[in-house]
Amino acid sequence: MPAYHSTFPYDPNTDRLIGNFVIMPIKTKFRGPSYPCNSDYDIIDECLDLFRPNSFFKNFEIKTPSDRLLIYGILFINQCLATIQPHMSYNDAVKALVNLSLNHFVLPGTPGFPLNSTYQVPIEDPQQMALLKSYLAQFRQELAMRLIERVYTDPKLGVEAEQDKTKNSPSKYWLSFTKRKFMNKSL
Amino acid sequence: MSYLNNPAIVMDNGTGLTKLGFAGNDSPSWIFPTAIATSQGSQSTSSSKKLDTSMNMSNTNYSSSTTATGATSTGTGTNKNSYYAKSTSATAFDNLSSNVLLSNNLAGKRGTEDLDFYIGNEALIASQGPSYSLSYPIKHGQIENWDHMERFWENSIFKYLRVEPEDHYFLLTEPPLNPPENREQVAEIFFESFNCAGLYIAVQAVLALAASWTSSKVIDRSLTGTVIDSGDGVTHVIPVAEGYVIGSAIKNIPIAGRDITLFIQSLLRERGEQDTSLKTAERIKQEYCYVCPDIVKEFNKFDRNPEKFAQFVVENKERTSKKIIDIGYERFLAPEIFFNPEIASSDFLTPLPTLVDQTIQACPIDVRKGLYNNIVLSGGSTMFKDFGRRLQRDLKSIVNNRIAQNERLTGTKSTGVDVSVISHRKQRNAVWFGGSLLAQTAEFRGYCHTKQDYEEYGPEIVRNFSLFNMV
Amino acid sequence: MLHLPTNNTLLEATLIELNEAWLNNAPLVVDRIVSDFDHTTLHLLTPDNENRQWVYLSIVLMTWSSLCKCSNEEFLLRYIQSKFDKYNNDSDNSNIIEILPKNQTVQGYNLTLRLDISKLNNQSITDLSLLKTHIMSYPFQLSFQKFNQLSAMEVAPSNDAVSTYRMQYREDENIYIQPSNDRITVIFETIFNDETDKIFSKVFLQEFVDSRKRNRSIQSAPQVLFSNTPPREIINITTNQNKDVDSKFITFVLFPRHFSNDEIQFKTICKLLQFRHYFHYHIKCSKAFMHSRMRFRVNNFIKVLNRAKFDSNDDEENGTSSGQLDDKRRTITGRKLVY
Repeated sequence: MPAYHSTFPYDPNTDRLIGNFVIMPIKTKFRGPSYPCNSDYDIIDECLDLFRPNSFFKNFEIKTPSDRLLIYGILFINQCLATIQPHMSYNDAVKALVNLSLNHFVLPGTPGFPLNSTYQVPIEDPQQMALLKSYLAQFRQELAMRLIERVYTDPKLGVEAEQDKTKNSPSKYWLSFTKRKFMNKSL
Repeated sequence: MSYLNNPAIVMDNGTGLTKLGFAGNDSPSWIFPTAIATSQGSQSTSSSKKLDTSMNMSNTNYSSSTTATGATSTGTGTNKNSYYAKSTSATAFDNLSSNVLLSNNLAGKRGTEDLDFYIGNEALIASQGPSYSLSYPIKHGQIENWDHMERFWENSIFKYLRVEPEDHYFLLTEPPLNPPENREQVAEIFFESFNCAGLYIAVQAVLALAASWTSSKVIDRSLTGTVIDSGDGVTHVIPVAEGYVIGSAIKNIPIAGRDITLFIQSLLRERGEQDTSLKTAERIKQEYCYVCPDIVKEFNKFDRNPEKFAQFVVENKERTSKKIIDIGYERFLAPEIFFNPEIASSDFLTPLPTLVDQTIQACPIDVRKGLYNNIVLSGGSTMFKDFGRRLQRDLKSIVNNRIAQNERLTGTKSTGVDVSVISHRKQRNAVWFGGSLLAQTAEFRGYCHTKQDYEEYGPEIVRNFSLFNMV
Repeated sequence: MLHLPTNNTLLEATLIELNEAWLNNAPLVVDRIVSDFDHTTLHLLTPDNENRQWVYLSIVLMTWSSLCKCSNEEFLLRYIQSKFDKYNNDSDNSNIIEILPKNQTVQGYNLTLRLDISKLNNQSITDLSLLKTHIMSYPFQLSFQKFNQLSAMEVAPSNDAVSTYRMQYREDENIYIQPSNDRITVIFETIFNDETDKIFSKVFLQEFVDSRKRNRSIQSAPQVLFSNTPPREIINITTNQNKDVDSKFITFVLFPRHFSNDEIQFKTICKLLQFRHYFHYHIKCSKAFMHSRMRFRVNNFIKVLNRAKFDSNDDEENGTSSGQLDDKRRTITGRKLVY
């Protein structure tokens, strides 16, 4: 069984493409170009679910454009986890990840991005690139926030238990994944 | 005959562990590492070094004088020494073991050095001291060091089993494709050193098939099936048709117990647990690991049910301090490397079910159905909960996909192939247990070669043993 | 190592396993065979699946019938029971270790002990693992008594009063024990079927007999004699009239210092009963030693022979072989493995 793929099909009628990078709708309160998402489960949830199993794989065959978004998400989660220190409080972690997601980041397809052979974007088109940048900023913020919710849930208490996440410390089960590199790459 | 009432002795010498016991028992009497600790006189090691260097010298001289092309310098000759040493010795002792052999040359010794050794667990303990060196006489299932093996047997028979070999019949096991010369060597030792009453050498895979007869799922006692034998070092997939191993189709994967332990250890280290010793990893493997149907779902299950996380307490010898180790995803990730080798290795990528399918496809078409519907597990590394179920499911889907594709291409309807994986309670020591079952039957002695036969015909008599006909 | 334990370690290990399983509230059901030298088989059995506290330990020995002839079976059984009486609590009705009456003995065995697995301790387990030694010590014990009787007499007893105990421990092999007024003579009769073994045993026994003379530190050890014909003491009672059988006789002469108290007595008995095992084990070891020397020589000769071979052909063949690992996996004669 190879690594897990994204289950979101690319629909040419509704989804916008920038080069071969797809802009999928996400559920978010952050401002950005994403269309509102009308399902409960979006690509960000999928990134979070597949991050742990896929971290063990070094080979990944891209089948759909949404796989590219999945790869980006997984690599970004890895970067986030590397930012969270083992004894960081919840509030500090929120601050650190907000900074990380908004600070200057390398766009796919531009020099310095690790997987440029698979991402082709129209660098010469400033309008498209601006759209990509603002979408990724929105995507990163939302992903980082949902990740924090998961990482600061004490696994010993379960999800159902009322938890004061601000008092928990980050789960070592999540942090241990910083040492794994999906496809041997990192952002 | 005086030995009629004595139970036959079943010995299964594996690469990692040796199982010894009496026919008719349900479990081996002794299980210990196939290890021997021999005493190391300081004198002998220095002399062996001298011998070794002098040999190397002669080798370099020889190779430089005989190389036709002047381009090959003596420098490469030196580099190739280990290789060269191999090619000069027909007995395939690589450099390391030839050293052992040399230092083990008892010819110059006049004391009781040859008696100064320990086997099994005692060997492991003795080797921690300065005066003993540990070695494993069996590599990849094959006996490599006969000197050590002979003494290993001698000690197992007299000290551990407490039997006089002249009074008992012996059933020994061998790996598939064991060359007949090795069988003869075994026979020489057993008949000439030990004067054993009778000897039968059985192929491990065939015994594993026989052991599966205790499972309620097995209806006909056939000796056709695929044996998946996974011990500590390597995992074999061995097809057996009516008692004969189909040698050309045997496949093996370099994933077995030790790799799982190492993988657990790496996961524990990544998480920064307090104790990440191999011993702890092994205990976790044996007590907590299981096979899951799907790892994504299993990760989510862990998120929802916190009781899935376990804890493991490591105490030091004096029980004065305790370390608490948290156990997480390794519970299901560790055995997953059989089904997704990619998660632990970058060299070997074929999952076990695919390999089983390839093995069976490499067999004659007439026996394939029998091989698919009697897949038997053997060895400690197949003991994970639901191992058999997952294998059966994955293999079934491979087979069904192929059948569907065939039907689409040819347009004819297939009768289908029944895939069935058999797990049973004796799986851990299946080979030994199968041997115990066969050796307790009344017919067993008839299948053995006796000391008289050996003296009449010589060692080549053991090249052939008749198959058990148990139906 | 050369040392062979006196007790049956496997029996000991099994009893400990049973006892621990009981203490951990997971009692086991057993039906296991344990073996010992000289046609001895022990059998552990849980007779009642519901009541796993009780385990039957049965034993069958080749010497049993000859032991019975030393006096009679009833005395023998009483003697064996006396060895374990110290573990049985008198106030309690159920004994921890008890010999079952003859009609309840497990089929095919000479003797069955009923053990209360829950009440065993380390001491009693060790003693149980010595069961065979305890049983076989019976004629020795009789001899010690006889010796006391004879030595108390003022006049030297006539030859008629001398009685000899015979233990037939293997087919055609016996131990004779003969007490007199100043010594006890123990004679082992042993045979070797294998020609090589005969030669080894001859050399070994000659050395063995001489070692006492050479080494001053073992002067207090019993005197050892060796002969190919029955010694004078037992010339009249040797059963083995068969001239084809090439028996060897080893005589140990025990003086009162070798059995002056219970502890020394027991030690002496253990050592004597182990004699044949060591003897045979030693011969097997010597053969193994010879074999390793032979292998070394052969290996050296093969190296010399291979030097006469042309190298180039070999080189190519091995260079193109699939992998380093395959290359190393060969048989003893250098054949490459197929897989």
